[in-house]
Amino acid sequence: MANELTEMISVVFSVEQVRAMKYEADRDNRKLGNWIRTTIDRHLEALGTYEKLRIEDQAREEAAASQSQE
Amino acid sequence: MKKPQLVNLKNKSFTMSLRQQHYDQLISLMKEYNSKSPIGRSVSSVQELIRLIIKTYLYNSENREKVRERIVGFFEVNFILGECPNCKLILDCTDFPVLVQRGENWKCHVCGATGLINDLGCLDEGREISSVLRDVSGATTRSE
Repeated sequence: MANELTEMISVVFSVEQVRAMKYEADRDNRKLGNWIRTTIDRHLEALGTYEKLRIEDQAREEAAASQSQE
Repeated sequence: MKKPQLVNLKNKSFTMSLRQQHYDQLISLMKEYNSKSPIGRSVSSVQELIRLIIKTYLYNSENREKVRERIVGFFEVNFILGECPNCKLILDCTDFPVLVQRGENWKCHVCGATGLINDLGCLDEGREISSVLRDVSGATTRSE
């Protein structure tokens, strides 16, 4: 569910930005929406968000496992 | 009688779908930045955060000169042109750099992070913040 495209969002860009984004998207061989999603993904990756989530998930699983052992 | 409304025809609205995971992460980032920002609400919505992220990625290809010109016009404020090591953003919603110089330190006005200016070059990997910083301070001196 978390990976499904469920949220719709409207973002306002200037004409120059749209032109630049289309150029970058063409270079990456992607559609504009897909390029924006990939860019957000790269940004979150660079921030270490996914690593943080992975560690949180691991901690939760460990806590659940230790609880079930008790 | 209806009042005439000012419509900015230059801006384009782009509607797209987003993964729930991304959306949730962006919301939590927005809340985190707003709680720490020195100027109060630095990011007003998820849309705004997406714009900032896209601006950061387009900066290298498009906006460099425009941003330099703008900084020269605003020489009273010591902006530092470069990526914030914490939020990884470069520009704010009005195309100004997110880092501001405070004596020997820098402060990000989006996420509120601070640090020593001298450390910026080493924290950054290959983006040559210090050289951009030198360029900007040179431009500032010229405009004065």
